[in-house]
Amino acid sequence: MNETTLEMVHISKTFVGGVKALQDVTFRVEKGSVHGLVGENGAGKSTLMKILDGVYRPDEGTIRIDGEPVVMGNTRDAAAAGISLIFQELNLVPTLSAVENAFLGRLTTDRFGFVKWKEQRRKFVSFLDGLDFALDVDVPVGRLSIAEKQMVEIAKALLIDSKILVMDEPTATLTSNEIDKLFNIIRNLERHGITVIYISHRLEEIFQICQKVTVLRDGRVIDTTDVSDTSRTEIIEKMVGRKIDVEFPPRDYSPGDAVLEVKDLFTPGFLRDISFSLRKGEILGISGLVGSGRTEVARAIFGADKVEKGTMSINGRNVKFHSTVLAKHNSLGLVPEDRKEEGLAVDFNVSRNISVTNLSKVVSGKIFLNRRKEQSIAEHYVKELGIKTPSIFQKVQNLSGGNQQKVVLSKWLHADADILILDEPTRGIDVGAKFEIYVLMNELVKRGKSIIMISSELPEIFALSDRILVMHEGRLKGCVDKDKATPEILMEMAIG
Amino acid sequence: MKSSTVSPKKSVQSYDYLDRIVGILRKYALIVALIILIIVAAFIEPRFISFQNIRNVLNQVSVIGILACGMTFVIITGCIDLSVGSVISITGIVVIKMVKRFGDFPGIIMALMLGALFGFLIGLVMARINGRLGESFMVTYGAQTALAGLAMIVSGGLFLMSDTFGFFSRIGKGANPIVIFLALILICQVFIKRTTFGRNIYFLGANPEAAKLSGINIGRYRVLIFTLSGAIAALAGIVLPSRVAAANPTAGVGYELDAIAAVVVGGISMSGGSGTFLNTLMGVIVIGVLGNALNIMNVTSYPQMIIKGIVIAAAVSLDMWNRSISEGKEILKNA
Repeated sequence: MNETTLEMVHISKTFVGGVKALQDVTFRVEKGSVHGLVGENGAGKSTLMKILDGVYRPDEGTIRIDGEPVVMGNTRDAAAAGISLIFQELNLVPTLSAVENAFLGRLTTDRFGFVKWKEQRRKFVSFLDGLDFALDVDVPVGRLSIAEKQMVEIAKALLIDSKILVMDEPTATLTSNEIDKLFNIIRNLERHGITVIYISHRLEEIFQICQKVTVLRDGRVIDTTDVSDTSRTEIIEKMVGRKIDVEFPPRDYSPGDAVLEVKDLFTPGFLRDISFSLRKGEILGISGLVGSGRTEVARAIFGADKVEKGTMSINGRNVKFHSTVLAKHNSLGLVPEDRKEEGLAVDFNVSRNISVTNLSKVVSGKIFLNRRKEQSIAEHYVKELGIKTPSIFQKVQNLSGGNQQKVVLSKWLHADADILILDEPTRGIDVGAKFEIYVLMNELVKRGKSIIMISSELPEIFALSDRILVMHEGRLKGCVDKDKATPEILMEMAIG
Repeated sequence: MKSSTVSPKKSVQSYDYLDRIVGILRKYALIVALIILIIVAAFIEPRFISFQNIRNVLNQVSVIGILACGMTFVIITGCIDLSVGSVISITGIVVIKMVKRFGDFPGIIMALMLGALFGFLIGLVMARINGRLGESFMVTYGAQTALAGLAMIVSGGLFLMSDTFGFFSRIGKGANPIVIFLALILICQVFIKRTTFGRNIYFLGANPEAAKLSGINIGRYRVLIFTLSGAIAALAGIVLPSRVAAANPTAGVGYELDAIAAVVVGGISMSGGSGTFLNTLMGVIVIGVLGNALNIMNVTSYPQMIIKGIVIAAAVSLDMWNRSISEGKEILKNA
């Protein structure tokens, strides 16, 4: 099976303003294979895929499918050529069932104009059986798990005879169980001769599922190899274009007294009996599956959600879980999981986003803003945290994920937060920026701040945490010291 | 948005240049249209640009203008306030009754407090349910209906005449409404641009969840904004009956939509988080000039309604168009 199904040859694309997104990229994918596509954010992965999907037109280059040159004028052309993109944010209507979603926009009707539901349901179910997908097709899609939603999305694509599936970070929000399921599905697709282009930041997945991998950097193809001929470090080096000695900076751990103590925390209908403490200068990792209640713990402590009962003390003083305003005054800071939706006003510039947590530092008089003070504070954090931005007046929307995250961190440094809760601090951030965030976290605890870090990435949890809490279905399963923790122990606890 | 100054290709550069001109035209389409309108109207009737006529235009729009100031706050926070028309009706009646009974200043203060109280109650509900645009639509529509009924009950359904002497009667005379309107614009502009409150109001409008998670008391800001809107509506409800020396229980009907239209025509987006009181000033003037120019061109009132309606719809469309284009550019830039 070494037949090439997709060829993108000498593709170049320059955007208005002279940004060279792709330069002479040649990308070949074998039929029925799973082909990994990796690169830092901004390397050109999404541009390349959008060209394949007909969203953009290349300035130069040709696309051939099974040897036939095709022109992708728009996404419909791409669909007709058998290409389907499955994005991170799934394109399903949550209130409709799997059948309804699968046939959305292509419903067949009888001569009275009524939809032939029975026939379509039968067709869909037998189709799923053929793929070995086990799925309840009648409940609203919103009630399905994310892995099941992805099955629906994949089935939807295959129903319109897609031959090439592009999956963009499909595992970003999946639990490890679900990832296994998804990989089984992908391997199954291989057997049906479907080609998968697999984009992911998680390199271990590339090694698990792909046969070949292409590395992009700065709009060029750096290398395409069999995964069996390369290694994780080699790929990372190609991605960032330099040698990386360690992926994680070294940690020295000398924690002080407890700064935060949470006892018997309950929230309505979810969290049960959560008790833990955080020491000064410590990074406390919270591990567990997605949906196990990690984010809810963070939000409860930060006063963002209702708390049923429980007590919390900060530096030995009892405080209430009353509101985010109170949490801020008690020197707590939250870097939320979804930085664009919850952490930033993306239409506002860097300076405004940083100052918002503590406007009292940038006023003259009691209430009048002092622009000069505000700007000098923003400049200070841009320099200190190494935020890469043309100026402090740049909209944060235009920054990369890593730099956006640094802006959110700056907000809380500006607010003088001593206890930082970081929820998935490196999600969707490329390798180089991840390392910078890790260095920053180490630097912060060295300065006497304390960090609670929620993460789905085990390597991150192991490398950075001093102690690790594991959650399962709204309860705390246990607390493991760094040196006693192994992936097996954590997984055991996380699964329950 | 600054474009890059160094472009490798000449064609790209000229594209940028053209692009920028089109961009500016698009952004200021409203002002351009206004200028064209004034020129055309001035050709037809030179008196159009006389001091007297300009004063007339401003006088006509000052009540809507005052109301639009409160509405601007609400719209910047991503909500809408349909109750203000009824607040005008009811405070108009109350101010005349109270001025007669307790004198000018106590009566005026009471009317302002009453408007603020209505707004405060709406704000409490909005804060409690953590409402956004959709919820504010229904909550304030409910308030509008209830207050319209209350206005009928308080007035007994009757016209009320006010005295033609005293401080109250002078508020609406001569250029006073214009002065009140322009002063309000200035105060509001300083408040929203220069104070910490203003900054938080913008943040709340741009992203309520991020505002909450930044430790801003968003409930308190919701209450503050609706209270302000109610108090400013009460101010409009004082100016209006003072000008005509009478109040009636349906005097404010439809005013809320005129105020919203002025804000939107001024270029403030209904999605919240942006806009200034200069936009509002522009919008109010455009609506005023448009009506006046159409009068001068002898366009009768029904065709005028049609034209006004089209202008309002066009203003919203233009805003969305502008936004989709600038978003598209941003996407290209990030790709």
